[in-house]
Amino acid sequence: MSQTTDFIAKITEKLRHDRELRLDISHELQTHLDEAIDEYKASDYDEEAAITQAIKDMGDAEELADDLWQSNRFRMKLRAWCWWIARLSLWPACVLVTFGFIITGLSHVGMLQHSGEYGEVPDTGRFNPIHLTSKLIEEHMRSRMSPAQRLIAFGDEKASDQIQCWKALRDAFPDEPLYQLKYIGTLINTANNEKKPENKLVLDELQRGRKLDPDNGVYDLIEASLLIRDVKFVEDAKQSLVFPALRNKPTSDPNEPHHPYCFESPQSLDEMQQAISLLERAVYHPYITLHMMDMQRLRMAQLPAARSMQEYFIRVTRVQGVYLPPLANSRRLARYIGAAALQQAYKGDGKSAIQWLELSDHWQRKMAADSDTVIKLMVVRSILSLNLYYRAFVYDALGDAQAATKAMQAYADAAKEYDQVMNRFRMTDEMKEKRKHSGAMLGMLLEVIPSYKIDPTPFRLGEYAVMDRALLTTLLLSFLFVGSLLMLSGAIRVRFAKSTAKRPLLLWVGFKRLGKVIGTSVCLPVLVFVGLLQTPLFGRQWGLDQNMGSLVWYLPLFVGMWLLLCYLGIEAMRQRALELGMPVPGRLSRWWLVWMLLVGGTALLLPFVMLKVSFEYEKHRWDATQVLIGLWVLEIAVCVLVWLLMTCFIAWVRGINRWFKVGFCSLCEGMGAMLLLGAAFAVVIGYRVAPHDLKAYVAGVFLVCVPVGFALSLARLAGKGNHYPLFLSSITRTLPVFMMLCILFLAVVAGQALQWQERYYANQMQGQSLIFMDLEVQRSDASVLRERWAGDEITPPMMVPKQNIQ
Amino acid sequence: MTLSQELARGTVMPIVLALLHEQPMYGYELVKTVNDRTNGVLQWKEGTLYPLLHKMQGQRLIKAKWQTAEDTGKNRKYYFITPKGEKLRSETKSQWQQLSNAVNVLLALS
Repeated sequence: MSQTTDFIAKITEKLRHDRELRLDISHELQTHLDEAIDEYKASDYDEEAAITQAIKDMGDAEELADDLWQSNRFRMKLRAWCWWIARLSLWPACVLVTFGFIITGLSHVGMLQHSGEYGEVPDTGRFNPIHLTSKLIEEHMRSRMSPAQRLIAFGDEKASDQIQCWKALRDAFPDEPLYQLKYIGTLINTANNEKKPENKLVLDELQRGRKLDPDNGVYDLIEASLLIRDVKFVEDAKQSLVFPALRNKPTSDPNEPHHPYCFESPQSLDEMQQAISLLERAVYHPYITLHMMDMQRLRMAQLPAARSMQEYFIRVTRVQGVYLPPLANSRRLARYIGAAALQQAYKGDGKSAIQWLELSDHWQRKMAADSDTVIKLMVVRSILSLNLYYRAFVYDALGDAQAATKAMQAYADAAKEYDQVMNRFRMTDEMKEKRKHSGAMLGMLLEVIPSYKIDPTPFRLGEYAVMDRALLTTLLLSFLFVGSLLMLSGAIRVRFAKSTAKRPLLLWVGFKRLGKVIGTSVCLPVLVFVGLLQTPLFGRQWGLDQNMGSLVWYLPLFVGMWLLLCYLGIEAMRQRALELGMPVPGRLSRWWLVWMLLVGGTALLLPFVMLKVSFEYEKHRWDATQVLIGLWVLEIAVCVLVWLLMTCFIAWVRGINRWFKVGFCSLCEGMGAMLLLGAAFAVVIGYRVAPHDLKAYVAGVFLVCVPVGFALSLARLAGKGNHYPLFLSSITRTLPVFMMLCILFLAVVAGQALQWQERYYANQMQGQSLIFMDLEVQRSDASVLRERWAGDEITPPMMVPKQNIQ
Repeated sequence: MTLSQELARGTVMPIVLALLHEQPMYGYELVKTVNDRTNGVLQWKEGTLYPLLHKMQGQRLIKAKWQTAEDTGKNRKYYFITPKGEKLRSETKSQWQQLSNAVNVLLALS
C-alpha cells in the first residue's frame, strides 16, 4: 500500500501546514482508494493492477493537489488564526481568571475569620497586613471612591500615625466641626498611648472647635476630662469611707462598687473643681455631641454600596471605629466627679457636693436623651446609678442617715434594673438558637446588638456564597496547575520530536463533542450539586460556622468532575484520532472500570474525610482558613504528585529514565509504587495539616488515589509494546485545552452566579441598616428605656438637711 | 458517449446536492452512484470530487461526519446536505428545468 500512501502524501503536500486537516483528508482519500482497490480486486484485478487503476481513477496528482489546496485554503487560514488566538489568549486568560478568583474568593474567607474581631479593626481601614488579599479587596473598594471620599472615610492613608491621619482631613476641611472633633477625638484617644500629645495642643484645638461650633458643650466636657486625666486617686482600702449599711456586706457581687474613690492630694481636688466648672458650662450649652453619628452617616454615604460580604464587613468596621472609643471617657469623668463630691462633703461643703452630683445627673440625662445606641444608653444608665451611690455617701457624710439610706435603696433598685436590662440584652436561649442560623459575622454582631430585629438569612447564605466561591477557586487552580504542566510536557514533546510526523497534535474534536464533554463533566455535576444543596442533607439551614463539615461534599463533586473530564476528554480525542486514521487504543472501557473503582473507593472513604474536616468551633470564633488551608494543601500536593508522575511519564516515553520504565511498565509494580508515593505524600501533608491526627492521613491518601488512577491509566495506555505514541502525546496537548475551557466556563457561569449571589445578599444585609447603629434604639424596645432615663423620675428627691448646706 | 467536460462541469454541484438530498453518502459512494445511474455518461474523475466536496463544505452547503458503516464496520466520512444546501438544490433544480426546456425548444427547432 506504500504506492497509495505516496500518492496521498503527494496530493496533500500543500496542506502540510495544517497537520490535522491533512491527516483528515489523507484518511478520507485512503478509504476511497481502499474501496476502489477492493472493488478492482473483486473484478479479478491483481493487487498491483488494482492499485494502479485506483490511483489512475483519481486523476492527475498535481491538478488534484492544487484543487485540494484551493478548496481548503480559507479553512486552513481560519483554523490557523483560531489556534493562534487560542494559544495566545486561552492560558493567560485562565491564569488571570484563576488568580482573580484567588484574590476575591480566598480573601473573603479571611474576612469571615476577621468577623469575630471586627471591634479591633482600626477605623483607618487598615487590616492585619498578613491578609494581603483583604487589603487588595479594600484597595479595590477605595478605587471606586474619589480622593476626597477616601480622605473622609479613611483619613490620610499615607500618614505615619492616627493623629496625622485625621489631621489631614481637618486641614482639608478647616471650617467643618465634624472633622475638627474627629481630630480632637483622635488626640484624646491616643493620649494613653506612647505618642501622647501635649495638653496645650489639645487645648488649642478645643478653642478652635468652640469657635467653629459655639453651641456644642462637648469642648468644655473634653477639657474637663483632660484636667482630671492625670489626677491620682486611691481606693479606700480600710473601708473608712464605706457606707455603714454596707460595711459588713460580703463583696462578692462584681457589679457593686464597694469602695468609693478619694483623691490623694488637695491639688487634685482643686483641679477637680475646675473640671466641674467646665462641666457646668458644658451642660448649659444647647447640645453636647461628638458628632459621632454624623461622622458615621457621612462615612456610610461616602463608602460605595457593598457589593460583596467583604465590602459590607469594611462598612461595619468603619462604623465601629468611629463609635466605640469616646465612651470610656464619660464613665471616668463621672466617677471622678462622684469622688470629688464625696470629699467635698467630708470637708463639710455639702452644697457643692450635692450640686456636683446633680450636675453630673443633668449631664447624663442630656446624654440619655441623645442616646441612639444601646451601648451609649447603658453607659448613661450606669453613670446615673453611680451618682446615686455617691449621693448615699455624701448624705452619710453630711449626717443625714435617712436620706442616705433612701439614696442607697434607689441605687440598689437602679443597679438591679441595670442588671435586668443588661440581661435583657444578653444572649438568651432564643438568641443562641437564632445565632446558630446566622453565620459567623451576624453571630458576632448579635452579641453586640441582641435586641436588633434582623433577618439572618442573607447573612447566612452570603457566607455560604463566599465559601462556595473559595472552594471553586481551589478547583480552578487544580485545573490550571495540571493543565499547565500537561501543556509544558506537550511543548517539550513538540520541541524534541524526531520528525514533524511524530509531533503531538492539537486535536480539534468538534463543538458537539466538546459540548458533550464539558456538559457531562462540568455542567451536569454542578447542576446536580446545586440541586442537592437545596435539600436539608447539606445543612444550609444552619450557619456556616455550625456546618463546616458539609463542605466535604465538595470533594466527591470535584473528584467526579476531574474523573469525568479526563475520561470523556480522552475518549473524545480517541474518536477524533480514529477519524484521522491515527493508531489508537481500543475502547477505554477497562480503564473506565478502574476509574469507577476509584470513585467507589472515594465514596467509601468519605466518612473518614468528613471526620477530618470537622468544624473547629471555640469561644464563638471559628477558623475557616484552617479547614480551607487543609483542603488547599492537600490539593496542591495532589497537583505536585500529578506533575511528578507526568514528568516521569515523559521521561519514560522519551527513554531517559530507565528505572521508571521498569517500574511502570507493569501494572502491579506501577500501582504499588504510586500508592506508596501517594501515601508518603499523604502522611507528610497530614502531619502539616493536623499533627497527631490519623484522619488527616486518611484524607490525604484518599485525595492522592485519584491522580494515581489518572496517571495509572495514562501509563497503562502507553505501556510496553503499545502503538499509539502519537495519540498519547496528543493527549498532553489537547487535554489542557479542555481544562482551560472548563476554567473559563466555571469562572463565567458558576463564578458569576456566586458573585451575583454574594452581591444580592450583601445588598439585602445592607438594606437592613444593621450598620447604622444610630437606628438601633429606634428599632428596638430600648427606646422606652431612653425615654425613661432621660426623664427625672430616677433621680431621688433632694434630701439634704438644710443646716449642712453652706 | 462521452460528455464534453465543459458541459459536464456545471452539473457536478447540483448532482451532489441532489444525491445527498436522498441520503448521506461518502465520496466513493457518490462517484459510484453517478456512474451507475448515468450508465457511464457522466464519467467523473474521482479525485476532482473531493476538492468540490471540501469547497461545498466551506460554503456550508454540506457537512461531513465520520461514521462507522454498519455492514462493513469501515470508518468513512459521510456527507450530509445542510438547510442552505437544500435551498440551493431546489433553486438549482428549477433553474435547470427552465434551462433544459429552453434548450430543448431551441434544439427541436434546429
